[in-house]
Amino acid sequence: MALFWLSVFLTVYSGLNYLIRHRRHLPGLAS
Amino acid sequence: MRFLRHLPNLLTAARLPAIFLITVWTYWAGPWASAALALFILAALTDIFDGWIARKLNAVTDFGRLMDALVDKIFILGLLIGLAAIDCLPVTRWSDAGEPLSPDASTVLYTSFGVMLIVIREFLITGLRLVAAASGQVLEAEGLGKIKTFLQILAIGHLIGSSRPNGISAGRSSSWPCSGCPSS
Repeated sequence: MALFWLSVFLTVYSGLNYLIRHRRHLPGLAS
Repeated sequence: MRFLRHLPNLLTAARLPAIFLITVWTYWAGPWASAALALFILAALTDIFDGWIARKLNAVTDFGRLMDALVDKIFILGLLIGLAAIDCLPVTRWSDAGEPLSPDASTVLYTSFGVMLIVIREFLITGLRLVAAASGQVLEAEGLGKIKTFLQILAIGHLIGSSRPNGISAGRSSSWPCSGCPSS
């Protein structure tokens, strides 16, 4: 299960990273 | 030759029926679980090669790029749901006597939270890409996202590989139509 949890962690981390880097596309979060 | 131009999209689409086959073969266990693992590896390889073939054939399309990313997510999430339904997620542990040891309720609950986090992340990123696409911009996958997909594939491969060693079903699964079950 360690692999599963590692993949969950990396999924969430990479998702947040992606959202922050491309936040200019999100209405209201462009700044 | 026209067929060749559609080959990348066909490889992408082939991952969808594979979700059902991998789940049911994992459930049937025994030699079927090995077949499920082999099909899973094959399907994961198509994930790599569909893009490569599309570039080689000069058949890269916006539709193909969108569907590849989308089918990736459906493939991973579909398998996680399927594996949870057949008690392969969380991993079933086995006693020395070969009896399945059911995971406790909190482990099942926290595992479902893990799957929910993946669902939330994938939908948010897909939503962001759609918003960007509406303004004419294509947001590509980044290195970290590719490592993430690779880790997800490893984790699911491990879950399939850790499934029941024989066709005898565990827990609630005994009422399901599997090859190793006594008919009810």
